[in-house]
Amino acid sequence: MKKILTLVLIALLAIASLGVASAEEARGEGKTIGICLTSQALARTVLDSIYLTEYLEEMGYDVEIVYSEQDAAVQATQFETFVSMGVDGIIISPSDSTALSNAVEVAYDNEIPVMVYDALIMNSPYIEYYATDDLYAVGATQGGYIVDALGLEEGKGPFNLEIFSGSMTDNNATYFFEGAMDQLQPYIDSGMLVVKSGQVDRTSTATDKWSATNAQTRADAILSTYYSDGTHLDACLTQNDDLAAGVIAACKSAGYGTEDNPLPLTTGQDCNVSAILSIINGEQSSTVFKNIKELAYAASVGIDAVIHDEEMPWDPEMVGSYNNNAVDVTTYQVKPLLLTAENWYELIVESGFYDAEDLGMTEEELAAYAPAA
Amino acid sequence: MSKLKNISLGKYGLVIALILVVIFFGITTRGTLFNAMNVSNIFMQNAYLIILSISMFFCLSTGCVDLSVASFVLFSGAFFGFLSVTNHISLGISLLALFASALVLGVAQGFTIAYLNVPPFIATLGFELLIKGMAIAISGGQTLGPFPKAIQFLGGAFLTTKARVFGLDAICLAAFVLFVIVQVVGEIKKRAKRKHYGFPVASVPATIVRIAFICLTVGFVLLRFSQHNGMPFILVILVCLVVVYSYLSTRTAFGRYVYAVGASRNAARLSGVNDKKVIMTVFINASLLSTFAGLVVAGRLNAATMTAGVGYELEAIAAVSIGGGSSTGIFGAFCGAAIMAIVINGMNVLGMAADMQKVAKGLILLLAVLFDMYSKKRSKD
Repeated sequence: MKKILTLVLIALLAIASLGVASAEEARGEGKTIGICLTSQALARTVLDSIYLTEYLEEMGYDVEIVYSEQDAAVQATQFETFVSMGVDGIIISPSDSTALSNAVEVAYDNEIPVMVYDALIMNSPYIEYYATDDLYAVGATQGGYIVDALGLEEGKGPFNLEIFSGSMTDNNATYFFEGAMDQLQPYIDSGMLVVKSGQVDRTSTATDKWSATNAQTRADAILSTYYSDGTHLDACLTQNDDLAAGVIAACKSAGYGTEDNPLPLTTGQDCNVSAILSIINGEQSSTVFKNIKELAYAASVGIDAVIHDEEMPWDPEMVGSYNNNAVDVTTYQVKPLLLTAENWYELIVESGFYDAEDLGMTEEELAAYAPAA
Repeated sequence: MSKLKNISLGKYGLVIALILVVIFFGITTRGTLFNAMNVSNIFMQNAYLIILSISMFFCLSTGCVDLSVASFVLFSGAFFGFLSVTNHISLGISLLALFASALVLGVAQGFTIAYLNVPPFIATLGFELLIKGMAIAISGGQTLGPFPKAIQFLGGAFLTTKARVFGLDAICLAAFVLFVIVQVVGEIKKRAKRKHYGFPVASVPATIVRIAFICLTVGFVLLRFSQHNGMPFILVILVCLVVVYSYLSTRTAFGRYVYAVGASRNAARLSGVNDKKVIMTVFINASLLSTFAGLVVAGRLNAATMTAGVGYELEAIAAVSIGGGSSTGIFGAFCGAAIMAIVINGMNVLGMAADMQKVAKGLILLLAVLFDMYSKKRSKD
């Protein structure tokens, strides 16, 4: 009798505690979000995974992350596996923008919400929401920096420019290129910017795999072919930090980097630690700060809202739309910011993006860089 | 006399291919291929290829293939960057730790292939994935830089000197004089030896032409160095490596064992050669050399990136194959690497887009090997 009573009491207690738990139930309790990312080797992707996990787990979701390593077929399989597992939502950063239309249709048929992240899935009417950095604005920021720093608007010039764009297989690179060239092309046409190598289009300026060594090799070739007669290379449109690193190494090898022969202006994106250090050292001129935290947050609250059939909590000012050849997709666009030696401390340290340890400095060393109040 | 010409054509087929490639790109780049900065670039950009070709030469000569060299290059930069750049560990300790881990991985790989009898293709593929994964994990997928000055020096520095003799860089001139002496003395000794044992020797005019041609080419290259920034430091190291490994492969018992194992592992073992030890040593050597190549690449770039080493294993295999494999020795591997280096550099100077470069590389590999096979066949008839 005593035993039965104890058991009943325990059972009642359990039911009661369940009740309490459900009252405080986190929004994502018992729900899983599948996340498909691209390459684990990119610092960017590592940050994506860290922030997405942080925000989703805070809301109580279980998170499963898979990497496709830039293989479209692998990613389609991973996506379909999530669908068949019956996850509650999928966030996908496509490695190939055109290879997922079938997979997305299946998700739609199974009523699994999909949030597209970073790169857009093309040609499919089955996606509704997209979170990205404003890709065109990234390129425009890079091009705009060169225009401002050289004083082209005031009529200064002519200056020598060389262009290093991203991988041919990266759809985003097309937008970066377009954004930058829209800023620079008018000056190239008027002759105030001279591209001695003649390499101005997307194909001839592309860098396979966004690789720094490929950029370095191409820069070596351009410098020895077109600039060994003493003409000075004034600026390089280098569309990410690795490309900037490669070009800077090639320029230094060719004798740039002194008072009489300064390094050309360079641009970048991703805010790699090595790039920040390079900017502090006065080698790289600028990079573009993309707030990955903001992007991950937008994607997380976005998919949470769709799962619970609620209104999107996105700030209407940040929302635009991209057309993927089938439908207009509601898009959250993170505005990129220009980062130079003047504002790096504010953008990187004060925002908490990197701390002293990330930058390889002691707290005192880092504090020494704080701008005078 | 005609018999003699045929004997030497096999080896010269390769040199002729190299000359043709140089002429082709020299013309299409309108001479830019030969300008001072570019000549220096050719050597410095492709130092890794020569190092990896030496290591791949030994692997292929034992009948094994090594697909993991590229991952060692990646791992080298990533691990050294992690130690020295991220954690500020001193240069000496970082290097020690780096090569110690490379040694451990090389021993593991060698053991797997030599003693556990896992086919080299599979084993090196497995290790490639393993090591690549480790590299990404250690570096957190980040580009790591800047590198310590010493490593930057290794990859990209020149032995510049203010001393000038006849208006030429003193070091380059000294190197040229040394080279000419070595060639002439070496040739005289070789002829004397061959005569002594009753082998035929090439005629004196033919020999003089050959030596003169070699010396002129080397002299031209050294002149270009002198006109740019001087002797690239890495070239000194490369020359030492080539000399040492050449000696190893042709004048030591170990070299003989390598060829024996490659020809027939069973026959070698039955003849008393410790084939397992030979293969193990070859893979340990590969791991150390590719780690060194990784440092050179990262040093020149002044950063360790996650795309370092991509495709390097195939380039090294291509270079050794173009060079004729084990039959032409280290010299052949060096020529093969030189052909690939000129082709890659030429295409870059021409401004060829990356996609077309891939197509061209494949075609040239096929053509060079066909030409080499053809010239060998002719020399046999």
